[in-house]
Amino acid sequence: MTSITGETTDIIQLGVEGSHIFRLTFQGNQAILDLPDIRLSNSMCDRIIAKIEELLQEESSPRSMSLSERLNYVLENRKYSPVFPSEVEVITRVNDTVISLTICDLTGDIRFHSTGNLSSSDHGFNSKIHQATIRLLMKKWRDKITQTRDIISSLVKTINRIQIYSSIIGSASFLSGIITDTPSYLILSLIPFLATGILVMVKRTI
Amino acid sequence: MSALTGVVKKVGKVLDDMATDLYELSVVTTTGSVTTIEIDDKKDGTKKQVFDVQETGISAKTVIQIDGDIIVKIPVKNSEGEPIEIDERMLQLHEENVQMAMENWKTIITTLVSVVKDLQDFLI
Repeated sequence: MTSITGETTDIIQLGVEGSHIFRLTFQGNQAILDLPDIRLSNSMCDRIIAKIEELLQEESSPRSMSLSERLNYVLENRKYSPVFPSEVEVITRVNDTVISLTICDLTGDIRFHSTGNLSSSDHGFNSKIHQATIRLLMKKWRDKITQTRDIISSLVKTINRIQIYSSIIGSASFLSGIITDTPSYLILSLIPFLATGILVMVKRTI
Repeated sequence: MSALTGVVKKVGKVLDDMATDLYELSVVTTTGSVTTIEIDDKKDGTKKQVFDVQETGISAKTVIQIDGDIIVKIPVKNSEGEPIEIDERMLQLHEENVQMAMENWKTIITTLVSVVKDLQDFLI
């Protein structure tokens, strides 16, 4: 099994301990955690996890968005992962050596690969940070799916509304054309009727 | 026109694969080594990293099927028939991943049902 990384998208510093840096790199559908080879304390581990949480949750979108706002949101917030990744990968490295790798695919399957003994305290903390990153990326990915579902729902409602409004406008224009004996109104009424007709034809074809 | 047919066929294949894959959820925890190799990208001439995973063993495997069947495989003996010491932390990680996978699976299925319902409302 091999996985190929794309171009670097973003590098985030999660924390510093002396001369050691904790780093998170997002590239394409991959999140790479670079951890220093030092003995981690409980508080340091918690601080790193809190930083990842803060980083990935600050983008949560409010539920009360209009269709255009929602579309803009999804397109603009591709920073930390593509809109529709077929799979998400989290790689944890200590001193440039991969110690754990997780691949999560679109249908929910998860494959976790470890190269070290997780029972030792350092690896225990490292795997906690690794798991927290996956958990948060997955949450973000689920949010995106929910947002996409909301976009489809809004789109369907909007099209149905357009159909109803165009029928009303068409009927009103037709009636005023007859009442006021204005041929231009009669001709204008054809446009919304035509639009409704096209929509109905599209639906039937589908 | 042939390009469009190609795209439609590709989308159809993706949906077909997805439907097959959705039937069962699999969570696997493995051990082994990962080597990082740098390769030249022929497209833009830059260096790209390749992670090559060499699996030496499976610590735990859980398969959950849509009809409710759950299969859990945990090796208790090695190839020579000797008992294996079970790594508690590894099992804990596996359990966390199963929970996460279940949540993802639920989201995908709920979303698909909801989209189908929306499309049904649209077409009727």
